[in-house]
Amino acid sequence: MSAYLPFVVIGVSTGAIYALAATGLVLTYKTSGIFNFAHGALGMIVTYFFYSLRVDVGMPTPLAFAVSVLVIAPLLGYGLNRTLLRWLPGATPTTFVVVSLGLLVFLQGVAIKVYGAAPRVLASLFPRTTFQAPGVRVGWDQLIVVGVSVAAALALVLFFRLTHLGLQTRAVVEDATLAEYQAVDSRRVTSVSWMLGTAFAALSGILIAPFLGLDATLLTLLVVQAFGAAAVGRLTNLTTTFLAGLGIGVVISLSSKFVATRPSLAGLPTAIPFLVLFVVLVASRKGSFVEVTKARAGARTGAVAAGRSFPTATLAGLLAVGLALPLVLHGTQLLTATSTLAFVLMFSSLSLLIGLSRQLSLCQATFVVFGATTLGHLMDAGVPHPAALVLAGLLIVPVGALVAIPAIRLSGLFLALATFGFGILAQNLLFPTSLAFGTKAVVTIHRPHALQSDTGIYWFVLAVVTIGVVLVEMIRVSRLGRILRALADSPTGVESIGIVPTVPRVLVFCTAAFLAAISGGLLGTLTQSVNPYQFHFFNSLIWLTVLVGAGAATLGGSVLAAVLLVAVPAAFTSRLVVEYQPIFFGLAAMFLAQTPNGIVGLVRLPDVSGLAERSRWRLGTGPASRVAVDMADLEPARS
Amino acid sequence: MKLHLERVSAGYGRVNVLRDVTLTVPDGSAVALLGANGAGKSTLLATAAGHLRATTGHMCMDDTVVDRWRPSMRARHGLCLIPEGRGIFRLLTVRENLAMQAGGRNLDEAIARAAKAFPILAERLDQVAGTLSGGQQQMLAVARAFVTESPLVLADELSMGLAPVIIDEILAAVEALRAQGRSLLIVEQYAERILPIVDYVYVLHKGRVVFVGEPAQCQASRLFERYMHGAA
Repeated sequence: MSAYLPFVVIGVSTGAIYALAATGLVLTYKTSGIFNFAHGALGMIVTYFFYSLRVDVGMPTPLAFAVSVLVIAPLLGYGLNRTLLRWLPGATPTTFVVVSLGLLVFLQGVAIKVYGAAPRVLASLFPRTTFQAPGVRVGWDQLIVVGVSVAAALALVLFFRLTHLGLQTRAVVEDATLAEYQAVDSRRVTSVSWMLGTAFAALSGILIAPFLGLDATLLTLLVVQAFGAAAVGRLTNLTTTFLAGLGIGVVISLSSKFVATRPSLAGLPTAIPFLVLFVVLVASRKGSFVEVTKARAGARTGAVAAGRSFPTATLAGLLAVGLALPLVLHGTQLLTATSTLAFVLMFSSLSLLIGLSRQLSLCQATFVVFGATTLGHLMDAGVPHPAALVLAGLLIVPVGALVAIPAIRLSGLFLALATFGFGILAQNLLFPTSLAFGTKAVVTIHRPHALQSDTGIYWFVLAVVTIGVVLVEMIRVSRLGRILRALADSPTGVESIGIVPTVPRVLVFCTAAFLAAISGGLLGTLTQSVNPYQFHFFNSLIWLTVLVGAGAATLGGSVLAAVLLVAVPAAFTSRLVVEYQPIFFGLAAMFLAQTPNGIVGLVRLPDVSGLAERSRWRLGTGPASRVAVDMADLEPARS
Repeated sequence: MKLHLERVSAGYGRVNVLRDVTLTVPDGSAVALLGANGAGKSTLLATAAGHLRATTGHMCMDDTVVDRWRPSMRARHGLCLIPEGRGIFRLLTVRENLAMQAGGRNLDEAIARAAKAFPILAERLDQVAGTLSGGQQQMLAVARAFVTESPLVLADELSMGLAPVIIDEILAAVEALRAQGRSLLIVEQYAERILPIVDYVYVLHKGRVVFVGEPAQCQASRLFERYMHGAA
């Protein structure tokens, strides 16, 4: 037993910090209906700020701490709440997910731009000496961290129970309209809870940074581990959330002792919060996760006119460009073009989920990785290349079906969370196994002889991507596409006309997984080797923001996304472009999340058939112009 | 004038419900707002309370233009809307509901006022409001008018879904409010119950005001036959 006690001590102290982060996350979600994926990133930014105050400015630690947690963090939370809510009147939960992901990518980009990607050391805030407790030595810093966390959580509970503002907050959570009628300014109440939530995020970031180092990615994602605890608390119960955070911390710590002698399970401890997240979301009874965002009057469902007809002209134009490129590009330029093409297919597959059926999938990188590694394994086993590529895609289809399980039961935010959890699980648990990279952490793919030359591989990729893209566009205009579009709008409506929604949802996930795996196989064939760092799950988040910014509803958006992601940084080799890229992607996703089709949707090409239609209308033979519906006129005449 | 709507139009998104409605609640008078289902009565109250913004027209409280005020602002300036359904927080206790109604001011006094109007509430202070009977829930909602002492009370279908004996008690409370000199705007399905206690009657039909007058004129103009499908 005594061998495990030190791990329990570590677990409780880190668990207390997760619990704190999770509590802040649930607090903002409950009161504003916005699940803030960027919660950890906010804590990260304030922690860097704290570091600057303490180290660069030379402020005494208590003062720097107070300024960061009590002034900067609440200001940040206040500003975010006001701007996010003001930008997004009547947005759907899906839009909020995209916006907060955009914020996450943006904040992380800013932190890396300002402070660099290399981790820094944050000196401990508290004494590093230890004292002897029964059976174990405990660090004073560990004890203080637990004390601070528990005190903050208790203070929050007392705030809700004892203060009038706390009562008002509970009232606003239950019924914001009624609270307004009762003289409560619900905007002010929501702002306060965002200020509190961000302060909690900052507090947890500052507390955990001395243990883990100051690293933009690590801090963003460590507080993201709070998601598991938040899910146990059903995203609503603060006490359960806090206890779950503590519990998860202890289990992680104990499992790290357990796996110390079992290297194949090395990824398990870090995967535990996401295992909890995934299992809780998938295994819970249907209906136990209900989004608090009520559909507000005039909510836009993101209906798009684009993507309803087969884009023959766009496709022909792009294909012509594709055929002409080898004439003008050579060497590395042509390789960049090839890799851009492969990404077009990946973005097309993602747009089936995000643009067409409005299902947020945050694990597309997983499919890409499995596509590439499976291709490598198949070719090692002697399967010839093109057949191995298709086979690899087909083998990934069951993985897509597995991810579709949460999609059947969950929607919007919870699907996004479940796929997010799945992506991290796969990376931590499956990538180190022989299914993917094995212990060597690299898979080699030998290009077949015919594809050795730059042009050879280019033509091959162009052919495969064209077939894949045509498939996606055919799905978009098919009956399946219509059903998916209808499901995005009203699942109840679709079921009421006798369509079982399960089949189309599983189908679209399987197709998306298949195509993403194929694009992964193409990328692998191109680079001839893949490693786990190339397609870190964080890429899934960046890809989503890029696609939403570029336009998720049409082929044009997928092409633009691939160009922005791959070709632009390759064309401008300056570090500046690379550094600002995530910042730009994050901003674009935040601003364009509510537009029907991103940047592409903002560009209006002269529409010949539309012009003809309109000229007919002027002659009085076309469809009547749309008039505001008058409720009263709809009422049957009564006498 | 306690409340005045001048040529107000309002609705939901592209759907227009109220059209060109002009309505006045004079100081200290009770006004009944009648009409068939879908005539726009609740929309009118929601617009007056600030939940919906008027697309055209103006609104005044005590001769101050309040067009751009949020509902909470109007409530602080003496407008008390008791919305359709149960205007209570079902997850909070009766005491907490009364504390919300009192807006952080003296809770004991709020409880005393609520208990004076509806004695049963005093016995249920620590019960979660959602577990009260329907009648008691509505009493708790109506208690807000007594707790806040708002000079202007808008009441939306207070009798809906309640037993007749409870309706008597609720309507008695409405009369008590009137006796205290509050200005009232009352939407009610039981027109015959409300007409004796109001000074003026407005009838809405398809979002427009089709009748303004005193209760006595109602029967003569065959209003109910024409606009309310025998609801009276």
